[in-house]
Amino acid sequence: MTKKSFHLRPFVVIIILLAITFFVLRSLNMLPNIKGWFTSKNVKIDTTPVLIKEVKNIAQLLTMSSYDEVVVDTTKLAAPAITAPIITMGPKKTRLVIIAKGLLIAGVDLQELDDKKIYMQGDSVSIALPAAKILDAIVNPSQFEIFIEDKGWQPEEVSQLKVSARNRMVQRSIYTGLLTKAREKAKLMMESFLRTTGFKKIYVY
Amino acid sequence: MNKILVSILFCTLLISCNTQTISEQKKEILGLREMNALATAEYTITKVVKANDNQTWFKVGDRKILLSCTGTIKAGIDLSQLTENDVIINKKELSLQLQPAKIISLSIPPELIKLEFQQVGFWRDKFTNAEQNELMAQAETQIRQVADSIGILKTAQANATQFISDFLNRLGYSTININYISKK
Repeated sequence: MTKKSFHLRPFVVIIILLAITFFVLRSLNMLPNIKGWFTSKNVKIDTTPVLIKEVKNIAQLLTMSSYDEVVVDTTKLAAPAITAPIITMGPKKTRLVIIAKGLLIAGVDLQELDDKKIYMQGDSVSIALPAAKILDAIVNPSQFEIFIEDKGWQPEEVSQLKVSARNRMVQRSIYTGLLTKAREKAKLMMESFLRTTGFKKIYVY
Repeated sequence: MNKILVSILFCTLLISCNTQTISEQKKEILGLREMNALATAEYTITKVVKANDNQTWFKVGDRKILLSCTGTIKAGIDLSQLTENDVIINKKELSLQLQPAKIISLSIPPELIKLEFQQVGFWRDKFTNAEQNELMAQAETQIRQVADSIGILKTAQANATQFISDFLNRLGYSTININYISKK
């Protein structure tokens, strides 16, 4: 028994030394990341130019923004599998769930402000502001998370669901009074601007 | 012998302890925010997104994809910092000092993103919609990085000068000088 343990001792010591070395190297971040060898590399896009298609002159007074987040989902019947004639388990559904974060910007379009809506005399001015509207509903690719994607969804179907997410955000913002707040803020901004430019009696409606 | 076995077990336990750091999730504040900007230029832009998935050594065959997108970039003037000190009035003459133009928004609507071409090796799967979305998010970052350099800020300032001058003309001022505070 004693002889046997005597033979085993060097191996045990080597194992302990190796374990300690491994632990020390690991804690010092000196070990190569083996996990990374078997991880798929992220696909990187090439650098391509941005082309200008159209240049537009606008005059939009942006007064309120609203951040929102919605979850949209849809289902459809999956395409029958090759094994369908043999194994008939009934129609299978395929699912798509998207989380969308968006930014809605509301304000007034000052290009709709014509001469008939401005009246001034001396240091008095009166302006009828156009109605407030949602000027931007921004839901960019980075703001979408495809949470569940079963097989069989075409890009057009995904795009349609994303558009419905954006539409839901717009509806929600209107329901929560974004346009009313945007108009109130636009009135305050216009009043402040007119006061700064020397008018004493200001009426913005 | 037992002591040795206990030591080995202890060491193994120590090594296997995971020192994962808990990643803090970014909390975003959702809700209403006030804005104070005059958007004066809108550029419609297009971009072709090109990617080649051939960098993972253990995947046999490669995948190529081409997407195209159309988006809009808006730029304008921040009016929140406009104070009475920035305005000088002398009878019918008015001088105004404004902040330089800046990018206000970038929008890439989902309906304007098109899958143009996809080539997939026999052993590989097609790009999923989630993967395509990830590629488009990279494209969005690239667009943001070059947005300043496509001349939109210059256009926005020129348009702002034009619009504000016209507006103040309608309010009775005959001479209007608009200057922009240069970036530090």
